[in-house]
Amino acid sequence: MPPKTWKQYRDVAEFFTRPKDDLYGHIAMPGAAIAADFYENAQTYGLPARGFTVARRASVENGGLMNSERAIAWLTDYCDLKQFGPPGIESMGWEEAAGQFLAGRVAMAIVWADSVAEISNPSVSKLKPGQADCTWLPIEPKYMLFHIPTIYGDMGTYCIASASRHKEAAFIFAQYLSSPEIQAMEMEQMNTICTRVSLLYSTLASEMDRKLGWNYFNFMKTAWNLGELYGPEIAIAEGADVYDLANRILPKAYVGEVTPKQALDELAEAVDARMKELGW
Amino acid sequence: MKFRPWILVLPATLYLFLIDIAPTIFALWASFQKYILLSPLPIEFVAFENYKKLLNDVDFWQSFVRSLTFASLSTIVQLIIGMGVAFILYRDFKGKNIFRTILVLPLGVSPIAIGCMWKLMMNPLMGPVPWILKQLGFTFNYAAISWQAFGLLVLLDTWHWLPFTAIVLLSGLVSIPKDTIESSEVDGANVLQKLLHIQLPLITNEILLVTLMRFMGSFQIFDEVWMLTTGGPGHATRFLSILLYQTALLYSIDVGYGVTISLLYLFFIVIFSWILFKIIRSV
Repeated sequence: MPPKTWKQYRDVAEFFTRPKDDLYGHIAMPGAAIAADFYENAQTYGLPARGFTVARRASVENGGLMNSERAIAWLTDYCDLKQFGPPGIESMGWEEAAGQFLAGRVAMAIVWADSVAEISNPSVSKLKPGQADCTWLPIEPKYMLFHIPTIYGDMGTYCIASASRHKEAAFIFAQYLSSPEIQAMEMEQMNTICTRVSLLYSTLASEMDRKLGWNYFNFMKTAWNLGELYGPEIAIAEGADVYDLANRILPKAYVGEVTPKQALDELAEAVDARMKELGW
Repeated sequence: MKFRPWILVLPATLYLFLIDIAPTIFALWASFQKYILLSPLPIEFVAFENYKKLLNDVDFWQSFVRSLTFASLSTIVQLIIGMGVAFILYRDFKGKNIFRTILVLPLGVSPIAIGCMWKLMMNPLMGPVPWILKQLGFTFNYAAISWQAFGLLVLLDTWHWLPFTAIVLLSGLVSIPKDTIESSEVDGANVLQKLLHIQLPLITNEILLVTLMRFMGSFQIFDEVWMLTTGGPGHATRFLSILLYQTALLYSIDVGYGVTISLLYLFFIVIFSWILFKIIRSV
C-alpha cells in the first residue's frame, strides 16, 4: 500500500534504507530542480505555486506565502528525507534520480513519472514493467484542511512575454503547438501530455500505457476526473525568476548551510526585490 | 598612396573594433542603465545605481573572496607541484619523452570534457574514486561537503594546468647557463644550495609569469565549475564567473547589472596584472 501521508512516506523510506546493501528508501532531485520539488511537493502542504501570488508577492509580510509556516514545514521535512537517499543526492537532477530508481536501488522516487517510462527500456532499466508504478503523492494532513489538487501534471503553458514585439505571431504559433495533432505527437515523443488534457481520454493514452507497461495515463485520467490534477508551472512569465532564485537559495538549506526558515526568508525577500525591479 | 598603410590595416582595425572595442563601449553604456532584457519596462538611465548596488551586494563580495581564495590556493599548488615536475624533467632519465608526452595530455582536453569526466569519476554513488576512498575508510561526497567540493576544484585546476606550469618553469631552468651550475658545484654547493641560491633566483621571471597567468586563469574559471558543481553545494563554489553567468544570462537576463559585475571583474584582473608586471620589471 503506498504511503498516504508524509509521515508514512518517511517510515517506508527508513525501512528500505540499507546502505550496506546499496539500497535506499527515497530519492528526489534537489540538485537541478529543488525549485520544481518546491512547486510540486509543497502543494501537498497546502501551499500552491510556492506561495507566490498572481499579484507577484512572495513574503508573508508582503502578502505571499513563500516563507509561511507551511513552506518551512515542507522544506524541513524535505531536507530531513535526505538521510534516506543515496550519497550524492544533493547534486542529483531528474535524470540521475530517475536513473537510480531504474537501477532498482531506490524504493520510492519523487520524480516526474514520464522519466519512469524508461522502465520498458532494458538498456537503461533493471526494473521490468510491472515492478514499478506511479501513485499519489502523500499529503501533510495538518495543512490540507481545504482541498487543493496534489497531483502535478507536467503539462505546460505557452506564455507570450509582455515585452514581445510580435504578440500575434507568437499567439498563432502557440495555437499551432497546442493543436490536437501536434499535441498527440508530443505525447508520443515525451511520454506525457503537454497541454491538451483531452488526450488522456484518447486511444493513444491506453496504447501507450500498454506499450510502456505502466499505469501512468490511466492514473492521470483518474486524477483529472477527481479534480486532483493541476499544472502547469506558474502561468506567468516571472515564474522563471522565482524558479531561478529558488534553485540558487534553497540548496543552502539542503546541505545544511542555513536553516529552512533562513533559506525561505532569504528567497521570499529576493523574489520580492526581483519583482520590484521588474516593475511589479 | 599616402593612405595605403591605413587601408592595409583597416580590416584588422575593423575586426578589433567589432570584437573588442564595440562590446566594451556597449558594456560601459549598459552598466549605467537599468536594462533587464525580459522586463516589460523600457531601458532606463540610472547613472551609478548598478555600481552602488554592486558595492552593497553581499553575494558579490562573497563570490569575489571565494574566487580570490580559489585562485590563490590553486596557483600556489600548481607552482609547488609544477616546480617539482620541472626539476624531474630537467634531469635525463629513461622514458623521459614518454613521461613528457603523457604530462601534456590534459592541456589538449577541453574544459567542458574535463568537467564531465571528473563528474563521472567523482560521483559519490557510482564513481571509482569515492569507492576507493571508502575502502580506505574515508567518506567522499563533494555534492554535500563544501570543503571537498572546493578542494576538488583546486585539484582539477591543478591537473589541467600543471603541464603548462611545468613547461614554463622547465624552460627557465634549461636557459640557466651550464657554466653557472658547474662552477657552483666546484665551489661545493649542495643540491639545496644550488636550488635556493642559483636556480630559483635565475628563474624568477618564469615564476612570476606563471603566477600571473595561472592566477588570472584560475580567477576566471567557469566551465569545469559549472559542469562539476554548478556553484554548489549551497554556495561553496559559487565563484564570480558563476555569479556573473547566473545574473547576466539566466532567466530575467539583467544585462545592466551583469555587465557592471563583468567590468569590475575586468578591473581587478587589470590591476593585478599591472602590479605583477611592475614586480617582474623591477626584478
